[in-house]
Amino acid sequence: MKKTIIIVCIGIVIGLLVSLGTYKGVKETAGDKFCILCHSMEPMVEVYKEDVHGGNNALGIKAKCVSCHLPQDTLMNYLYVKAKNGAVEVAITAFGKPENINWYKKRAHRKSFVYDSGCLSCHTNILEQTNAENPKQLEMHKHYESKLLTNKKLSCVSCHISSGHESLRNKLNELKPEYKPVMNVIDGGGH
Amino acid sequence: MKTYNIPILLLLLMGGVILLVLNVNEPKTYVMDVNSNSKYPIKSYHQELQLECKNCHGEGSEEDYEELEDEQCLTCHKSKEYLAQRISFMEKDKTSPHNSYHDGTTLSCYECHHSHEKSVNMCADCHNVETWMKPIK
Repeated sequence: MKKTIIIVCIGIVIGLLVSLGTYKGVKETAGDKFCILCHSMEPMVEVYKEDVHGGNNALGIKAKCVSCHLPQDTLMNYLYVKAKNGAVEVAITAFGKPENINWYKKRAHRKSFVYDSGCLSCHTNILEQTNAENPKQLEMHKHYESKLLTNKKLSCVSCHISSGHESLRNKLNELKPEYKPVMNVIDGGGH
Repeated sequence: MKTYNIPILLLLLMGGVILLVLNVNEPKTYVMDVNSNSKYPIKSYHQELQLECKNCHGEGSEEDYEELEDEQCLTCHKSKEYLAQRISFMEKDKTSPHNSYHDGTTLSCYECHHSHEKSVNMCADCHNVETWMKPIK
């Protein structure tokens, strides 16, 4: 009996330590300080810091990277996608060539890495709003809602293309220009 | 690194490689209902949002639909200044069509963009713009 109590107590302590470790691990790997450890994330983090979602607002409130880039619907889903993305990204960094990633193309696939459950966990009343400075906002959010149960569901980022990283295209162009530099456009480039 | 961590890391890496090979991180795509035979076909980016006529032209009868004013486009697209800011990288070479060297941000959307027919690049009337920008959607 005494032995069982000791085993149960040790079990509880181990359980608590594992839970604490998991909690700390999940928490510490949630924000820009961790994500920027991968060199390839630097441009994204840089423009995020200039964005209203990255703390550039009157109150200095920041959405963490995972607030938008991991599903916030269930804990299991959150942990599953976090583990899956973590494994893929470690593999890309270790074996791939992250410097060759075409970020312009990635942006076109934004629906696959920005989660509506994340947006809606902060913007909680956005779909119930009945007043807005721009009435078009209400109309389009109703439109979004009307597609929710169809097989052609829209995403928040279907319309809000650059939310969270407003000037990302400009930043990417500093690093890898989309177009060749134009020489003498004004002075004789025309024809 | 403690030796007992190595198998865990290896497993994680192997998992990552398998997921990469399976490409499970790729986005799901779906086919749009493209009604190109329509008298007023809409552009792919508006199709993707499944916009209907009324979203731009209002609830009235189709016979009464009129061409939109710039301000109506901007109820979704925010402002001409915002659109210029999104491509401010082009201002370095003075090639930004949304903050034009000649007209600033004053151009009408319709100078280039046409919702129901092929768009045109007004800059191309005078300049060779092939290296400046992609074809206008």
